[in-house]
Amino acid sequence: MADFIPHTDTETREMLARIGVGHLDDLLSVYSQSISAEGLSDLDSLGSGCDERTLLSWFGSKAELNRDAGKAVVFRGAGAYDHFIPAAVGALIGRGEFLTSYTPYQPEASQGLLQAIFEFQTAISRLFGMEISNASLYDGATALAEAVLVAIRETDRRVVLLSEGLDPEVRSVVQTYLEGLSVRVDIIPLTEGFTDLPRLFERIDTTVACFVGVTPTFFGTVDRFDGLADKLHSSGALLIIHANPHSLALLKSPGEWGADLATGEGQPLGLPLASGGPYLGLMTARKKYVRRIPGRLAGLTKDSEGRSCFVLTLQAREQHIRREKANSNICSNETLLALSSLCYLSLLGPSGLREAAAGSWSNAHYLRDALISLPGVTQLFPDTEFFHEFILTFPVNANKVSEHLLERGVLGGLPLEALMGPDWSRRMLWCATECRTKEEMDEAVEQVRDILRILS
Amino acid sequence: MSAERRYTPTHEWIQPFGDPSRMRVGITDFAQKEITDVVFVELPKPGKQVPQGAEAAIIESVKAAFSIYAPMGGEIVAVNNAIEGNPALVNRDPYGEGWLFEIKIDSSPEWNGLLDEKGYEALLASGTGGGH
Repeated sequence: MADFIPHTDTETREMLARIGVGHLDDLLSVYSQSISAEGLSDLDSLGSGCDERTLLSWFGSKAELNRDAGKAVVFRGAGAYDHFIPAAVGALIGRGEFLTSYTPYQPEASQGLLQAIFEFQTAISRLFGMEISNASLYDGATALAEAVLVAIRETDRRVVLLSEGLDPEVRSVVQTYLEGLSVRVDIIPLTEGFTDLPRLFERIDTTVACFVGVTPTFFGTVDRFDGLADKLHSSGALLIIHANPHSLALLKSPGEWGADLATGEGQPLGLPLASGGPYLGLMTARKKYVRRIPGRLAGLTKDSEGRSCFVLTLQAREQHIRREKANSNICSNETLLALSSLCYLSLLGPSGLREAAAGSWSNAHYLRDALISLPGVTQLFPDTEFFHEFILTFPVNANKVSEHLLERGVLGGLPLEALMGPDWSRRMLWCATECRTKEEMDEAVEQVRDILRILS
Repeated sequence: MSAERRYTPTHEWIQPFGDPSRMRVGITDFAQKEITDVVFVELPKPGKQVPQGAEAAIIESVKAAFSIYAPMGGEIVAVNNAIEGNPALVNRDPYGEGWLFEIKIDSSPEWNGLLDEKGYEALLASGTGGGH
């Protein structure tokens, strides 16, 4: 059993000595500095103990300080989207068989769960136009990072090209994953919200492992990749597309662009807005990469009596078998959230999903038209097709606009300065999903008009 | 150097193929029985340099994966593409059609450190093989 104990006290001491740290707690000092108990100063009032009613009331008063998305009109996306989720989704995934089950470690005994995963994989691979999907990963950012690792392993090359259209936070996750691998990451700029394909083509040579394209981009624009897959393949490089799955009901799929791997954040498919998750990583690929991708895969086969049954397949890729030589340290998934997505997709059906996506498209365009009619408000990339997000430049500081809107019960577009730098201080990324009504949008536009008058 | 086959304690075999510096490598009958049904073989890319004892291929059964080490160092010059589509060849004919890859060797003295038939049989009999 000794092999299964991760580290002994002696080993821990050796590791700390090696990196020059005196005590394990010293590694956490960065957190103790940045996290303070401010606002919880009455914590002591709970004393050495209290009754349950007092405790609930105390926590309730703290929870009241939050303003969740349900209490505001949401015009913010930037990676997490306020789509309508039928109540049946919650009712179905709330069944004990699903709600309390962990990723199956004795998988074939859990046929129902394996079937759910198999159907999820089927739905996601169809949506992405790809041959295979895994059982999901932890979130979209780590799914993309894993896809990049697949490309690096497959090509044995060390240059990764990332579209500037990638969410800056997702980019930083990818870069974190690549730390220590001696990989060079180059950002390929967008021109008017599009990948500049001729310039990208010039950058592709036999040192490049992959290009990561994004659609819709972080800026909302619908990017296109004509001829890109062929160009990359002729140099032995891979095309990875990171896509918003909801948009794929309307837009050309990664498979149609010739992608080798395609990833996405599954939150828009039936998962509520939540601060930081848990979310759902979507990972799809062409079949030839099925042994390269990380995570679980449910498969359909026949048992010894010829009956159809489900299995977890190709497990030899995984950490619990291949140890340090596994494709990835991820050999679990987000089953409950994958199931939410599957229920969402099944309840809406292809036409319902198209309707929801088209509603988002149409609302966002209505909102854009109304907002740019306000004095001094302009759209960045005005001539570029967008899905349900767009960037506006305001005549005043965008953080101020956002603060004023929030006071009026509106979660406006995301002010971009914090993510993009001081040049973006007057810019906001707005979003409207199918959930917004015409009245809500008209009202928000009037609020913005009023706020601009106050701030100017 | 004779045309005989030599063995490693980790259950690979190696033998000259064509010219004396070109060696064909596979796994032994004992190894294929231990591994059970081979479902996939990950072969090295031709042109890859492998030192003696380095992992050169991976054999998967349904629920396990086994590293295959280069019995001698050199450059991978050929791989058995037939086993990609038909990995069962490794079980059916481990010394023949189920071969894995060919190495153009760097150093012939490495040959002398390998086990001959008798030595390998003694190893199996003693039950002290390196295992996979």
